[in-house]
Amino acid sequence: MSRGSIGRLFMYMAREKRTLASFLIVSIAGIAAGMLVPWVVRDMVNYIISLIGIGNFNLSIMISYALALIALLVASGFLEFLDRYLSELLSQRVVFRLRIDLYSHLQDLSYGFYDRIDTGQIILRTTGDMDTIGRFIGFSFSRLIHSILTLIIAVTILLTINVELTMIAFIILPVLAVAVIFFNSKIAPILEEQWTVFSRFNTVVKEYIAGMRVVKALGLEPIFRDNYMDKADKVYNLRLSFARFASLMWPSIGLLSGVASVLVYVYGGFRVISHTLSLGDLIAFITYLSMLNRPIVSFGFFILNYKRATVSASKIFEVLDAEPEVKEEFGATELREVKGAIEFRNVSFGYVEGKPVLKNISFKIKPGEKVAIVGGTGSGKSTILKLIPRFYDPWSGQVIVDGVDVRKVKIASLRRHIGIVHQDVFIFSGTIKDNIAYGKPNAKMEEIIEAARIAGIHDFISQLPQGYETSVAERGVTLSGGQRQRIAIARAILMNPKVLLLDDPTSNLDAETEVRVVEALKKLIEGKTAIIVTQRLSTLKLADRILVLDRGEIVEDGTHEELLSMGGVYTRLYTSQFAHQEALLVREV
Amino acid sequence: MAHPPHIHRYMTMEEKGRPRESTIKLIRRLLSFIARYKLRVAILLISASLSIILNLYAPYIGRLLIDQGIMAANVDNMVRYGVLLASIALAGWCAGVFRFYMLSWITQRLLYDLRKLMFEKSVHLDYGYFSSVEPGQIISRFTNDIDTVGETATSGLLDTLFNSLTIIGAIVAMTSINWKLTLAAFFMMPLIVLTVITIAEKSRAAYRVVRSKVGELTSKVEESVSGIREAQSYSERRRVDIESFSRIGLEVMQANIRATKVIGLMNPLMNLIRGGAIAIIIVYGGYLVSTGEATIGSLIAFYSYLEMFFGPVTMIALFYNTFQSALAAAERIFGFIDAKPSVVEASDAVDIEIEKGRISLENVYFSYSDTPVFEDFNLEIKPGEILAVVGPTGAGKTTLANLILRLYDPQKGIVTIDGVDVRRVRIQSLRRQTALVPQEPILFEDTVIGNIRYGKQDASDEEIAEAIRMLGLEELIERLPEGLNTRVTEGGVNLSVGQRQLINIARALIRNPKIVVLDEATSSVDPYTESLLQRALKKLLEGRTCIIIAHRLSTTFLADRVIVLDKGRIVEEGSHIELLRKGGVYAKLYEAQLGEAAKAIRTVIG
Ligand SMILES: Nc1ncnc2c1ncn2[C@@H]1O[C@H](COP(=O)(O)OP(=O)(O)OP(=O)(O)O)[C@@H](O)[C@H]1O
Ligand SMILES: Nc1ncnc2c1ncn2[C@@H]1O[C@H](COP(=O)(O)OP(=O)(O)OP(=O)(O)O)[C@@H](O)[C@H]1O
Ligand SMILES: [Mg+2]
Ligand SMILES: [Mg+2]
Repeated sequence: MSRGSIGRLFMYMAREKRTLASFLIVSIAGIAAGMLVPWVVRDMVNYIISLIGIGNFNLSIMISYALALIALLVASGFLEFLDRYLSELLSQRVVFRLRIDLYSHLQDLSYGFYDRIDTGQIILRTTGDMDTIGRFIGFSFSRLIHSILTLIIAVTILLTINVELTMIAFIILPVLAVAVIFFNSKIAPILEEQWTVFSRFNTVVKEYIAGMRVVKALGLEPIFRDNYMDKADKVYNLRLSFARFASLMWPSIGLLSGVASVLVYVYGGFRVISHTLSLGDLIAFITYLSMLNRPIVSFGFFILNYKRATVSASKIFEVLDAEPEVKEEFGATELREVKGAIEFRNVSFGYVEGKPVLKNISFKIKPGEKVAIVGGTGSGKSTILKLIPRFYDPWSGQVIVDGVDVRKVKIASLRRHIGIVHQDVFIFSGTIKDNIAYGKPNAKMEEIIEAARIAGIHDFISQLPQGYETSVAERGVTLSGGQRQRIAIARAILMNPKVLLLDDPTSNLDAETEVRVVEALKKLIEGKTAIIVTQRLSTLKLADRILVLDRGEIVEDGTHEELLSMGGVYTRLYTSQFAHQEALLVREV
Repeated sequence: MAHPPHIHRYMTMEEKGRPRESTIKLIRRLLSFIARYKLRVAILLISASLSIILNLYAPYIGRLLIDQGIMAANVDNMVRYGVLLASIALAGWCAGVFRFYMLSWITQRLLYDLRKLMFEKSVHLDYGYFSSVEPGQIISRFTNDIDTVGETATSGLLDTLFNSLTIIGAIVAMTSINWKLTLAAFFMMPLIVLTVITIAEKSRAAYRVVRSKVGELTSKVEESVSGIREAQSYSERRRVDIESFSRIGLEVMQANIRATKVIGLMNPLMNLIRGGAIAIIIVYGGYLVSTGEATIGSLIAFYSYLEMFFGPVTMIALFYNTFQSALAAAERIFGFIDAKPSVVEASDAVDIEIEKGRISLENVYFSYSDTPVFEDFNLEIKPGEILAVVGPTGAGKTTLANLILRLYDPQKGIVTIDGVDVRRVRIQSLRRQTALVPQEPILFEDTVIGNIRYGKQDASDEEIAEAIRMLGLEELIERLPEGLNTRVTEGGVNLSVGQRQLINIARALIRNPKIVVLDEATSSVDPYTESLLQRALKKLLEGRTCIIIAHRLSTTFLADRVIVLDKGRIVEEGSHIELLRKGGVYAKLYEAQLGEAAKAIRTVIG
């Protein structure tokens, strides 16, 4: 699997043909320029040696050597610059594409996916893992190409200088290979585990800080200390065991190349003494040999980063390969106008296999009808709402809007007609205005204000010093639960959808505000289909009809009066809102 | 639901900063941490110096090998120096292993200690601190900042030290070989300094842009992912979000490429200077060799030292700007460590044994910032009383709870429990006997039973099951796929909102607290379950003091007394029935909320 993901990464790189090709050309030219340097030095050393004792120093020859050297160094420096630029370009482009692909895919994955995964892990994939891949391509990969090219060229040159010396220098190669393989096998699992442990550590920190209210109020610090230190210990130990291998690895490369050059020195020395090799050649040889140090070190780095990139790439492709559970059918049609009829036909659904939450639910809502859903905690009210815009697909049965199965229409076109206020409200960073205009970023100010009015939040916003431009969360106001809820209502209202789904929209409002919001909503939903989940009586007033849900089944269906006269689940729910003796009264009334 | 923390949003702002405190001070403080690991630091210093010396020594031996071995055709010398060189390589390897390992050890240990220290700090800081700072900001102290410090600050600090040593060593070696050559080569020095400074300055600016763009990108991702459910509810959003993400992605790419261009200039420029230096050496050195003033071996050694000099210089220059941002991260960490808690335990604090649970607030003045929430507020809660607090948003209900539980201290006046000023009490002993159900349910990634057990760590499974039965929540638990062992996912998204609240209630009550505050604890629970819960609470709360904050007035009739709070003042007070009879604010709200039936009730009650 892991090799596969690197392979796929290369596919992304292969798409950048032009950059890749120019990079290769520049690399070769750069290496060649670098390689010429010792050549010039060799000639020069030989020249200087020839002068020893003669003392016949020719300045112009020396200067021309020097100029040649400067020219070569400058050329190779410039090529190195281009090389670096191109490899960065390559890596940035690949990362850019990968990021966009990942982000777009994240937009399409359905609720079910997000139910299972920790947000921290996804964020890690789009940030940390992308960086790792960027570094791998921009640095390690280009270094690898360099190393290979340098190796080929240098070995060729070494061979042309002296075959025997080359053989001697490369005695150490097998040792190096063994070392690399050993190192490799040791660090791979450590890196893999580091990823997991580190993301766990982050989760603990996030929970601890985000849950600080409970932590402080209940004095939970000791529990979190244990958990936190446990993760911190693991991070520490893993990094140390990594360091143990790494600190053996790097110096070893130096040792091996040091030994190789000593062998060459001594053996080459004999040859120089016996006049079968010139000193200039020996020095050039050693210089070329030392040029291999960097590629070898790079190779070590490459392996390390290759392993890291493998882990990261596999994490990224894991998400990219996740299939959205809710998929648009081939040939799905656009849902243009809706009247707002909604029907559930024998719908069963659950989040966990074998544990149905909704059991064989059937009901019909006429266009323009206002229906409330009431029922016990966890009976499945929110779940019903989530099936209508197709956030989940039912296990069996059909959800039907205007006579068509929702699976037969384009998802975006379906959702365009439906406004939903979720039970847990999400406020984005940015201004209050941005938050209200969230679904319609180019809404006019008047529309926004009107929506805020209906949601009963306009007065609050206008008394803020910066009004609608006040930013939330970041150095702005801290909104109370009730205020957040009203912003979410305004957000949905602004879309002016034909179908409005409100999930307990008044749970956090105080009595007075609730009454006002309900009055305003009443006007607003005229002519629309609305489904309102609520626990509150005064909000129930919005509905013409009430569905009573009990453990995933619809047990009662009718108007408030009808249901009260049935004396069933609804009556029980309703009278529970009054104190015991009052409840008796209510039943009489 | 707890608000998802936005970790990176703040980094964007913070990245602007070079550290405000002086660099020297920060470095000194970091070093003072490192100085604790005396033995390892000593080993590191020794092994690093050794490897630097050996590095500097090798070319010298190489020179002898050439001059006295090869050139002199002396095989003995050649072998001797060859062996010496090999031994140097071996010793260098040993020193290198120690150097690398000790450096990693010290870095990781420093991170570990910092993590630990920060945790201990978080224990001492009061809730007020955490609620005044965005959670994401603090989380990023614990994660990103620590790692930034680890990756660059320590190793960077030490590397810079060693690089400087190498530079000095190389200069000394060059001078000792031939001071004339050295002088000639250093003709280039001003140019080096100029190049390094200019490029470092430019690249710092370029990388600052990169960091701020990356911060923007990260907070965009963070927000998109945490708000994905909302985003998918608005079909327009997909296009808008992808567009703006692509824009930021593109900007990140451009910023990176620009920065690479700037920093990429360093090498060609340095090469040019290096080339100049080498040229001077060759021409001048060649002349010296030809006149016999220098040997060929010394010339080659000189060349090696020159290369040894250029490497570290470039590294220090390039490193400088990452080092600055690491120092900025260190400063933020120290800022957290140095934060002053405003609720502190008195040195002579005593353990409290709450017996009655009488609470009183006397002449309390409290404000979060400028506008006071309470001015001269007085409230007396009798032992074992159940007090309901109602009132509009922002009236100060939650604040009242905060003061009673000593999550905050009032600026004036006192809060007493059983007659003891809470400021005289050891905080942990108070916490053990109190419990809070927060307005926003908080769930941890654990099983349901694990979440409840946070309330009482040593509660047995049976004890928890019993508590659940007493609270009448059995049915609720049965409905979960795996009952009590159902795993709660991040933020409790796999539970219904009402279920999340009920689990928070169970967690608070399993503690068997003497004082309980329920802050909107049942706002999303259906009325029937709530009424069952209330009946259970009535029994359970026998002999305990309980404060129930509620918007839904049906929650309040369990109370012995109801207070209506408005703008930090008690505007009405009495039992549920009394208040209904009185026909004031409470009665009006009650009617508005419960409609016709409530009106009828009021007429009957009279
Ligand atoms: N994302 C999810 N993953 C797994 N299980 C879930 C998920 N969402 C809800 N459930 C489970 O499905 C059941 C019904 O949940 P739902 O949110 O529909 O209840 P509800 O009627 O809206 O309750 P409440 O009144 O508390 O909001 C609950 O038992 C809950 O634990
Ligand atoms: N951490 C805080 N920092 C600054 N001001 C705050 C903070 N918490 C609350 N406030 C302000 O103090 C006042 C009282 O807030 P409090 O949370 O006590 O109200 P509440 O009665 O609990 O309201 P709600 O019904 O919305 O929960 C409000 O004006 C609020 O804006
Ligand atoms: Mg719900
Ligand atoms: Mg409150």
